[in-house]
Amino acid sequence: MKNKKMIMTILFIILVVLITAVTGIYALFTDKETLNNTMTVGYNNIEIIEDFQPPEEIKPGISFKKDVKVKNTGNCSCYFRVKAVFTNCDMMNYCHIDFNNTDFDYNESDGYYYYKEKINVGDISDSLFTTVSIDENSEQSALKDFDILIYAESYQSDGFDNYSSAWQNFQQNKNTTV
Amino acid sequence: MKKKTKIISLVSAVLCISSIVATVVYAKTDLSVRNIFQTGGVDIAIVDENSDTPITVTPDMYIEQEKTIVNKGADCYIRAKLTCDNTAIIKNLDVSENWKLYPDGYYYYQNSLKSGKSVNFYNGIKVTSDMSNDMAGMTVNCETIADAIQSDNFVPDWNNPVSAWGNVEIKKLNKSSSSTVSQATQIRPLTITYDGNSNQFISDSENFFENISMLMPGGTYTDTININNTSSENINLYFQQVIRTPSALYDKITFNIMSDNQTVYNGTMGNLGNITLATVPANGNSSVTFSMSMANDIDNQYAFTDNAVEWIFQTEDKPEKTTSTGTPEKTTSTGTPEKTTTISTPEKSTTNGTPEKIRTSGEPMTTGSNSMNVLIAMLVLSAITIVITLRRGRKNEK
Repeated sequence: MKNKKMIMTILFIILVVLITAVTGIYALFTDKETLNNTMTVGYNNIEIIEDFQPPEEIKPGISFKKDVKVKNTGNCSCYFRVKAVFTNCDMMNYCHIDFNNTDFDYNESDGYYYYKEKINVGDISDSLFTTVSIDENSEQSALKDFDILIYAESYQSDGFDNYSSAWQNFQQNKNTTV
Repeated sequence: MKKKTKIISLVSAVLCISSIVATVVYAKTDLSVRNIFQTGGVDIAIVDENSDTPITVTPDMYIEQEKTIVNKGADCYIRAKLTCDNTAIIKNLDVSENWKLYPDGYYYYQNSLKSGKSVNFYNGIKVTSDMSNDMAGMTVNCETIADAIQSDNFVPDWNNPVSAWGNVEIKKLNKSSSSTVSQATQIRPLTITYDGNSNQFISDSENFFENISMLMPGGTYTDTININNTSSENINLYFQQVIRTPSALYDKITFNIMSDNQTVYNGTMGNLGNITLATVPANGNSSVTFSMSMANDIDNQYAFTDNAVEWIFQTEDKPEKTTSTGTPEKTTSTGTPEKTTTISTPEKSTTNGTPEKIRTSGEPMTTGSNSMNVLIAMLVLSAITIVITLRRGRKNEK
């Protein structure tokens, strides 16, 4: 019985040594280095900058200043599109707005003016329009008080060569929650 | 038992004989040289010129970012990976050529990176297009990790299903790799001449390790000293070794000396006293080859170290006739001192070294060393022996 025990302990010791041997006991010269980088996830944010001097009274032939621009307040450059919406649809007929068709591209199907260039962080775009004029041939009685609402949307510019491809991408991914 | 008594009687006989003969004083002429051998090491750096430039990432963006790995130490294998605290942010890493991704998450460079060379790890990062608005403005920390292991005496297992390096521990090198001792660019034959006229040793070798490249774990480094005897008598050449920069490293180095193809010493590198190297024939020469084998388990702390070992070569001076009874110094001769006296021209030895740096001749360490098989065999054998003796013991009891 004693001998059996001895044999078992010897075999156990050999087994332990074998396990350690198989895992490889060696230490060669090595080195380990690390380098850190930080990134910030970008976000779009725009602000409508407006210089508006409303007239005291709306009369035929008058014009007033309403200078509409967009500022990039996010942390990465972006494209934007903007829409001017009248609260009173009728008033549209008596107004003339000097839309900037040089720097903006008007899309009839959705009514948006697409800014052709991207705006960098902190930059302000060209004016969408600067002046609103009331048609001098309009009737005073037809004129009503109204507002022009400015509505703007932005989209990241990274990864897109131009505004068309950026907004096309937006259209394709519109249904995903952003 | 029988062998032991034989050796004892032989030694005592030798001592008796030498004591009878001794009535002379032996003064020794000696040559003492302080030799320095260096250990190599692995030292890499990760370089990114624009690492401080802040990056703003947007979905689906391709970030142009370059990481280069520079080898400032010995030839090595490298592996690297990029990890960010937000794991979803990276869609794809634009890795350079010759890097292969293994299941352990590391990219392994398929070639050995030579000393002084650099290699590009990646050139850009593709950001995921799937980002939610709640990630806006978030800061993401990314870390590039690079590991290196010496390529001398190490062969990666490229077919390993998990990791090409197997089970290795990679440690950072916590010291500078710049060395204070410059390495020789040309091989210079090592020679010692015993000048018969002056009875002095002459050698222009200031460091007997000068032809040896930096020692790396698992490597063997060899060189040969040619000893010329221009005197008209045979001389006994004795050797001593004194470690001048004590370190635990010496326990990991096997030192072997062969004299005219006979082993004179084989053991750990350490202080050695009075070994008879050879009996150099009159107007002849002897060849002594030494080699150092470094074990394959050496800690990084021994990388890039300078180690000084003093060698003292001695011989008996011409005996002066005196009546003083001085006991002769013990000599432990392990080889037979009989040599035929060859008449050869006593000029400096011809080149016996190869024209390129002596590189390691150690067996490459694969991930699963062969030396382990020997250990296993020995254990099994001893186990069998134990079992057999136990059984015999049991039989005797019966």
